[in-house]
Amino acid sequence: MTSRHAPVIPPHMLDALARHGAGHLKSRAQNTLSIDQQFRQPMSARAKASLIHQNYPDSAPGAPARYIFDANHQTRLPGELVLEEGGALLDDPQVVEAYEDLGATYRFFHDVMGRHSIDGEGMALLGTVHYGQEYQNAFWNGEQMVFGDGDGEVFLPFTRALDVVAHELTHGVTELTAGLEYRDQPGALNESISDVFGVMVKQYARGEDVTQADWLIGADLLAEGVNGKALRSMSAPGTAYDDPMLGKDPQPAHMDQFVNTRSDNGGVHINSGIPNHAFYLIAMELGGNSWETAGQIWYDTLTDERLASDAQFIDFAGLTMAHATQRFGQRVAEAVMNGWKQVGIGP
Amino acid sequence: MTRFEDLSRFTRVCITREGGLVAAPGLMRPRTFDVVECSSDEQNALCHWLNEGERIGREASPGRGDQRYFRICLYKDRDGEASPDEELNVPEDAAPAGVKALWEEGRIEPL
Ligand SMILES: [Zn+2]
Repeated sequence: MTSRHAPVIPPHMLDALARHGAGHLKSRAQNTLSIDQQFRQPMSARAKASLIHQNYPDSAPGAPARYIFDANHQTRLPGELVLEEGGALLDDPQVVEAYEDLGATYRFFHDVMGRHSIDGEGMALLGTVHYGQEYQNAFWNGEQMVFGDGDGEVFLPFTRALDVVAHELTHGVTELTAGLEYRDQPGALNESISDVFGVMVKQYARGEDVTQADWLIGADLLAEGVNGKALRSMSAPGTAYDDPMLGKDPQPAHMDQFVNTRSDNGGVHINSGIPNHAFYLIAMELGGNSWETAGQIWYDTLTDERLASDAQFIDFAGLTMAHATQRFGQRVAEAVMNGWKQVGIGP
Repeated sequence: MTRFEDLSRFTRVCITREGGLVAAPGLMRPRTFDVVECSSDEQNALCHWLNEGERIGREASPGRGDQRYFRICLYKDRDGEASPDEELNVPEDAAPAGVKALWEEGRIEPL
C-alpha cells in the first residue's frame, strides 16, 4: 500500500540506491531516508519543497532544473529517471513534451512574474510520464507533476497540452503561496488560478494577445470523435463539451448559477468557471496581452499575505481591486471591478 | 465502534470516482449497492472495506491538486434526492483493493 505522504523516491529504491548508487545519488538517498523517518505526520508544502531541494539539485535564477521520470505504466512515483536538465532528448514524445512544457512554464513564471520556479527558490521541477494504464488524468501530488497517457479514445497524452502542464505546476505555486484550501470557494479559486496561469502560459508561448487566444483549457487533449473542444472554456464556461462519455460541461459563468454540491470537493472544478470568466472579462476589457496587466494583478493577489487559505470569491476579488489600483491606477481598477460585477461578485 | 460498524442502519451505499483535472460528470460512473440485498458476509466485507478506506482517507487530503478519489455515500432512505447520511472520500491511488472493486467492477470483494 502506498502512503499519500511517501517520499518522492519509494523507500525500497532509496535503500537500493543507498547501497549501490553512484556517489552523489548515494548521499542523497541516505539523506532522504533519514528525513523520512522524522516525518510520520503529513508534511507541509514547505517541508515537501525542502525535501525536493535536498534530493534534486536546483538551478541558478533564470533557468529551470527539470527531472523527467517514466512510470512505465505503473503507479509508483516518481518512476525511473530518464531525462535531467540539459540531457539529450529521448525519442519519446511524452518525455520531450513534459520537458519542454515544464521549461515553458518555468520561463513564464521567471520572465513575466519574476518567480524562480515553484517555490521562488529554484526548486527542481519533477514530472512523471506514462503513469498508470490508459490513465485519463494529470495531477500535482504535493511534490511533483504526474501525467497519464490517456486512453486514446477520449483523451490523448496529457503532456500534449501546455496549459495542462502549466495548470499542474501552478498547483505547486498556490500550495506554497496562498495555500488555498481544496474545498468549496477557496478550492474553486485554487482551481481557477491554475486555469488562469495555464491559459496565460499558453498565450505567452504562442505570442497571442487576448483577442487571438482561444481561452480554452486542454484543447489539445481531446481525441477525435469527442463532442467537445476542450476541458473548460474561460470565455464561455459550460460550453466546453457535451458528449456521451464525458457528459455535459457543468461550469457556471455567474454567481446566479453557483453549484452547491459536496461532489468534487465541493465543486472546485465546477464553480472555478465563475472566477475564470471574471479573469477573461477583465483581460478582454484591458486588451493587449493577458499577462501584462490582468496576469500581474492575479499574481500580486496570489502572493499577497492577506489572501487567506479559506478566502471566498469576494475576498479574492477585493484584493485584485487593491492590487489593480496599486500597480496600475484607477482606470484599471475600475475594469477589474466591472469584470467581477459581471459574474455577480462585488458590491 | 466506527461509523461503519453496522450497515443495517442504511439502505444504500453509492460509490463514484470524482475529482481529477478533467472532473467531467460522465467519468463519475456511480455504482449503487442495496444493503438489504447483501448477505451478512457481504455486509461484513463492505464494512471492512469502508473502514479500510476511512483509515487511508484520514491520512490524506483526497482530491487536492487534481488527484482523483472515490466518494462513498451511505443513505438511510431508499430513494430520492436526500443528501447522504454518511460519506467518505478515499484517494484513488492509495485505495484498498476492495474499495477499487466496488467502483471498477461493482463487486464486493470477499474477506
Ligand atoms: Zn487543478
